[in-house]
Amino acid sequence: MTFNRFKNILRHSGAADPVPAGDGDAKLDVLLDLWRVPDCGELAARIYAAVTADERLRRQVFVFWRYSAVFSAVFMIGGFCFGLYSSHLDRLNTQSYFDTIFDIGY
Amino acid sequence: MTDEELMSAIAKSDETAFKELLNRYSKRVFAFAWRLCTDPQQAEDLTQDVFFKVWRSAAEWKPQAKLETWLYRVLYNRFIDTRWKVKGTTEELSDDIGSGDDTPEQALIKKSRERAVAAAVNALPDRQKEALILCYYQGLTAKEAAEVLSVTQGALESLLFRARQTLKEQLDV
Repeated sequence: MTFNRFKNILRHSGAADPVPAGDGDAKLDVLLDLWRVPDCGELAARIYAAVTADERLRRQVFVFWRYSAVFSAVFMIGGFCFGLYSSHLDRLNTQSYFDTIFDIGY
Repeated sequence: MTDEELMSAIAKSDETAFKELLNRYSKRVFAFAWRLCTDPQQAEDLTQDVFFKVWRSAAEWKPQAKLETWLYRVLYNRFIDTRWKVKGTTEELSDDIGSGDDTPEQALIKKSRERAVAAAVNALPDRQKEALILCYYQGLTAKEAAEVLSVTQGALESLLFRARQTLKEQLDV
């Protein structure tokens, strides 16, 4: 490497300085343009996936909430019928027991 | 589709319209968020919060307000709410500086300049920094930026003027 080439590298490889000469406002605008935002990749796709997943969950919760009253009523009626049937069987058994004990003909 | 048509479709839970809105505005909203907090992760979280809000409250948007301004306002309010969490994070700068034509030396120079500019902007008082970002980087008019920051147009112009003066001193321009 020659000295001149080394000097050239030190002086930005001979490239034009990104900050032009001129009035302060123009120079400031050029400098401000250097502050760049990093690439956010597939941010839109990620947000879309998050929002749609959340929406599906919300809909499921809503459907469950909406029909939970109906489910509760069905379970309560079912439980009541089952209890009624059980007590009916108990009563029949008890009746049968006393009928047997107090059967005079026996 | 216009913004109005998109928002009315989103209000009816149209996911395709929402995707279109994301493609149209997510990068700009992310850019505003990143310049406010200079932390990519926080910026992504803020951007996501904004679009969640859009999805759930699209009906609240009034066509009198420009959609982009409304998005920035939602983001700015969210940023104010979470500012205490954001303070103290380390500043990360883009590695993607310059075009592929740049030599390593040019890239290094640009990087050091970028760092200097970022440091100078971040050292500005919060309101001046926000005004500068909205008007300079996001391209809003003074009226729209004043609406986002809830200040008068005169106050915003004053903030901008002081921000530019400070930056000129800081950057030796």
